[in-house]
Amino acid sequence: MNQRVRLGDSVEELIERARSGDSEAMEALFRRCRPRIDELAARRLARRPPSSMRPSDIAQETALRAFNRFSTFKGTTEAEWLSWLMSILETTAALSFRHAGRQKRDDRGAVPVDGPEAAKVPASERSPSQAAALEEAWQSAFAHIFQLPDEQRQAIWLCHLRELRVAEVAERMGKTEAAIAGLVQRGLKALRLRMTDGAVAEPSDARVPAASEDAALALLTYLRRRDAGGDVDPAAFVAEHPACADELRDMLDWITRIQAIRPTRFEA
Amino acid sequence: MLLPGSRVGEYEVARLAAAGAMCDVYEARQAPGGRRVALKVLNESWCLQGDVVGRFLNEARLLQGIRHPHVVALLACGSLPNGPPYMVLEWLPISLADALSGAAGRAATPAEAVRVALQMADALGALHERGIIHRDLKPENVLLDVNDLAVAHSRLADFGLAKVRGAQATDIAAVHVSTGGSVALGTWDYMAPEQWIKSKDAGPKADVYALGVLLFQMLAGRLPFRAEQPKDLMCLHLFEDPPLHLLGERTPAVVRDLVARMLSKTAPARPSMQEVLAGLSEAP
Repeated sequence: MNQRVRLGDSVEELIERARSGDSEAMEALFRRCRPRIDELAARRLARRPPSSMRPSDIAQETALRAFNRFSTFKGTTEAEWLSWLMSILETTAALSFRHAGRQKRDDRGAVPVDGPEAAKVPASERSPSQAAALEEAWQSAFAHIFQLPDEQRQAIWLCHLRELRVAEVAERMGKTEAAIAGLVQRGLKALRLRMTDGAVAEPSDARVPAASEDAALALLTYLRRRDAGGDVDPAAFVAEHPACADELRDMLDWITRIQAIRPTRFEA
Repeated sequence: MLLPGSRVGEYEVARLAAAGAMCDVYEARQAPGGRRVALKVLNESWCLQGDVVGRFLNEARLLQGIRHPHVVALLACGSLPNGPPYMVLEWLPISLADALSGAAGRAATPAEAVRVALQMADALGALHERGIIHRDLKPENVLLDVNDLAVAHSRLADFGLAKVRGAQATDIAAVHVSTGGSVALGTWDYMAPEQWIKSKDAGPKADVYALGVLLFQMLAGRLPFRAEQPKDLMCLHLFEDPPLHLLGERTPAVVRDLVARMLSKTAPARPSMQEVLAGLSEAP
């Protein structure tokens, strides 16, 4: 049941009432903290080189994520509330930096529109057959990921399709970050086997090549660097890990393929 | 298009009630002053499409063999003189979609939601016992006798995508219609993961999933998964946990747990329709 919100209501009161389903208190809580989110987003962006990202975009996305995940907030005080918002803002900012980095990499092949190369560039609009082929490709990829063992499927979904931080994935799945890297590693191997050989690999399937510990550790390092918002160059990263270079290269290649089909706009 | 006053068998057309993409629905009367009925006619433009006509005829054939208090009743069927096939159904002009949107998108009360879900589980359970899978449960296909969920009697309608499995298949299906192996059939928002992947393989548990989505929608006032693009929606249905916290504290724990199980990603993890029926019957 909604009660009237007053200016004098404390954040603690609003949290308590929002938690009990009071939508007006929920709105007031987010209105009250919005200037603080704006300020934090501006500060977070100030630590980065200039880019097309705007603090207001990060703030808006943070508020939306926090709103959708309010039920997972367990604190009661204003300090806990701000700390929780800060952690969401960090995740949001890291994801945005990563997407911006990817966009930048994608732009590397750009040519000036008035240059002679422009005439050779194919039209960006897809033909119906191209669109159909693309649709078949993502449907097939999702179907293969879906058929992985539960935990591997969940780890790949959260780490690479939702692009959550590995620490957050570990918390959600009640595992260590190393265990998550191991699940992703095994999942990617099984996925490769399924998609390239058409094999149906079960967890115990002997056809899934053994996963090396070195590669799992390297993958964890990769995920942490990615989460920190760094622009990880796959080739350079593989070169840093010669002991498991082939396996690592293969995994990063599959991660890139999965990221290419990741969902873009949804509410969760 | 049929004009008011036209006669179709023993029925007289009163007015065009709804014009759909494939079918027009007319309000008609059995005799002047007699009971109202819905006359559903396949659009002429679709009459050259073999699979569309096949689905329409199969729906009529299937409904002919079903008498259930929560399945829309078929009163007659045939073809108009100029060719298009038709069905005469009981008159139920309100859908669950109307009832939910009429309340400005608000959620139903848990008692109302459980009541409607129980009736649908009863209907779907009876179909499953006969080897029939509906495959297109959604608010638009749940018809109500009155616009009040607290007292309405609901009926399951639109069997255009229904599939018959087992020995009954050849008895019921008038025309073979290919479900094209990998083509996704159904309405995106209510489709189970296996239906997204390969509709042909979807069994009765796909209806359990759709009823889980419907129950969630009634309780939360919104769909569990929302996205505009099919790719994004498929991802959510295949991989994302349903946001059960949106069901709110007023939803009894037993119902919340049941919804969670009905929305399980894999079919074996979902309860059967009979188990759903039993679970809903226990709801306070």
